Amino acid sequence: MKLRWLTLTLSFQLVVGYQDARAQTSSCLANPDTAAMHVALVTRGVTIGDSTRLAQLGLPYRPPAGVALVTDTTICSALIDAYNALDSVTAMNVGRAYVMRVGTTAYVMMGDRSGVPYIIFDTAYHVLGGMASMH
Amino acid sequence: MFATVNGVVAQQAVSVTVTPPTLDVTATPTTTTGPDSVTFTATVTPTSIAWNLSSWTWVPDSGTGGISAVCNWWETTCKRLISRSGWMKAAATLGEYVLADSVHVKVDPPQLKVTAAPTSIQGPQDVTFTATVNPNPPNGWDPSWAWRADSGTGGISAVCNWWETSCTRTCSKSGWMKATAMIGAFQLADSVHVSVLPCLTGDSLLDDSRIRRALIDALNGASPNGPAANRRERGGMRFRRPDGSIADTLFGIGPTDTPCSFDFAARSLAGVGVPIAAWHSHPFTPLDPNDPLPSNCPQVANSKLLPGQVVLALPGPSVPNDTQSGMDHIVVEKNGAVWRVDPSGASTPYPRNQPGQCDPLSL
Repeated sequence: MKLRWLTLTLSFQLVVGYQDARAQTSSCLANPDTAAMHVALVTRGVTIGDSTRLAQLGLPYRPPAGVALVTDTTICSALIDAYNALDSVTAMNVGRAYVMRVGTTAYVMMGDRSGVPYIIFDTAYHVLGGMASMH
Repeated sequence: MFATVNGVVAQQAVSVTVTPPTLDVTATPTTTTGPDSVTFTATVTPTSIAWNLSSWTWVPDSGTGGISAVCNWWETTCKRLISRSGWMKAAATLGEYVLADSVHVKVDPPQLKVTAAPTSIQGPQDVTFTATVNPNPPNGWDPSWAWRADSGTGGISAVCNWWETSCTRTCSKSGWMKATAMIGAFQLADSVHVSVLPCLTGDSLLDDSRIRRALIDALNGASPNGPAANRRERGGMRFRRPDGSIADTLFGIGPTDTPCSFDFAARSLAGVGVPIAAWHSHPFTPLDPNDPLPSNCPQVANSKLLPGQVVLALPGPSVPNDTQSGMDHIVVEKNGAVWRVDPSGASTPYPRNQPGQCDPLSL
């Protein structure tokens, strides 16, 4: 029983500590060089990609508003939470992310965990799919 | 020396030292590139005495000849055309002294260079081939020409003639023009490749028929229509070998290659040559929902996406992964474009199968 209380207390502290960390550091990543690279790659995708296929992915073709980095932590956190909620494997959760608004109808997120592709969302924060840069 | 002084016999010794004369032979210059005139000079010290050479002797380092004519015994200075490395020896007899000296002359091989203009043509066209030797041999030279098509025979209107150092012929097939020449002791050879293609992109690498063939091999070798998890990106490279020749290679599949990545760093390039350009294939149609990336791609290994939520290939090369430092790079996509990546990472797409545009894989 004591062990259970200890586990619960520890878990509570970990969750509170994680949320504190999120509050202290923005959930939006914004390193200028890295952000520019992600914006360029996503821009290339919606510029060169086939318009029909882009539409199937929920992405606009050559959006007049372009691709822009998002620095609003509310949006970044909402997207991160939506992605992390896809399954219960917390070890594969994303903590922070580069978030880009694509035109006015979609978001694309690149998390801070390797092996995670660009995740595509609609503006209601629903996960639509992913895309990855080939190496 | 003896003398009688005041009735007394006296003597005095005098020492005389005779320094032997020396013979010295020089050559100017002592090193040449290709056949060149060399001045040989023989001098005797002290210079105040009269002397004559008894002979000049030329001994090449290998074989025979290498000098236009042997110098004459009455010449203390002579100028001759030297075409291979060797020793010049002079001998003289002064009284009881037999003198000799030698000097070595090194002849480095001249450079034969063959060029074609233009090197890439759209369909059968005239190409001018030019062979030059540097430095130009004083007595002239005659090339031998040979044409070899990349496939089959023919492909040229006529072979160039031995008396031509420049000739213009109509090329109708991709192939090699080779020139050979005997310059002094040196058998020289050089070749140039001509690409005859259905269309030109304007990019020198993509307008090389050998590169186009290599890109097709890299794409087909990735099994782009096979099961997604079994595909493997394939890569190749163009090298300059130590002898100056060019070689293109398609690397075998390595244990760290995946359907979505090619591991150039895992390739051992030691001793092969100097890399000039590299290329690799992306065996998935960009952004095609019917051609999703498999889970054994490292880019998606930790994805949380649910069944039905697919990950698709972005078009083009990745940055910085597909930028090989200081080298031109090419990425060939399945059903996409061929991308030229310059050493800075800037990339240019050359779409395939677009009306009015040159397909960069057409042969």
